[in-house]
Amino acid sequence: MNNEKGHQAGDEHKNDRDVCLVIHTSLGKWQSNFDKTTKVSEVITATINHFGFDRSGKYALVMKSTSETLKPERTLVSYGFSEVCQDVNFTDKGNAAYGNQ
Amino acid sequence: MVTNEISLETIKSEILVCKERGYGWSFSEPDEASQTLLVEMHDKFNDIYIVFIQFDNYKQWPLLIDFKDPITGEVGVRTAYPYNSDNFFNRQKITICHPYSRKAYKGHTGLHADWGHCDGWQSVRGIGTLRSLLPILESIFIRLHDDTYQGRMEKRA
Repeated sequence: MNNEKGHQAGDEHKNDRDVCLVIHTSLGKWQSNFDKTTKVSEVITATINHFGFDRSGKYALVMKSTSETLKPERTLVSYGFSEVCQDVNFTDKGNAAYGNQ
Repeated sequence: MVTNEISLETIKSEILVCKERGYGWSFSEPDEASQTLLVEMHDKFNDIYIVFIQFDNYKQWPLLIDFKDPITGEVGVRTAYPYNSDNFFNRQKITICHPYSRKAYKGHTGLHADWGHCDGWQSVRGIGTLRSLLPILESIFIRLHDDTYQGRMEKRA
């Protein structure tokens, strides 16, 4: 994974192991390159760090084109991400505060 | 109290933010008199859910969020609600279990009387970033598409 400040797509640091994500959050948009083998959970952590979201929150990444929720344990390459930038939404799932009775 | 005019303007501006995100949700025209709004969204099987939102006194109070059965038109019934294994949608009280949900507070279902009066909803522990319409609707939508989704809270007869 690249550093958390991210690299703009097309910059000189990009290589063929990179995939490009444009991550949309409630605090703004972040375009960054990640290694293909980066797990979704690591992208979530990087996004939390980049924007300063509360670390105790429960977050998810959703593919913008299909609304598919990306599984934290899977790698980016397993979803077919490439150097062509893909839009994903970073969402706060909230936590159920009270179990069913 | 927030006037109807102000709460209407607030919800309209937040609807615009939702539309920019491109989820494909459908919004009714928010009504100033009744202070209500309907939002349609699909689950991963293309079934329709209608989110019923009352935005009076928003944002002093949280939104009053419910679901409307797309077939019978009933609001707040189990056949209108989705259900997930994480208990975000409370089956007993038929409400969303989160501090952004007015229906969960004392004076409504009372699911969370421990949260105090709903005036303080934005500072209740666990509110996270869910303080405006986009992240609130996202928290519902994502549950219609993830592995914890179990269909409607109650199957239709």
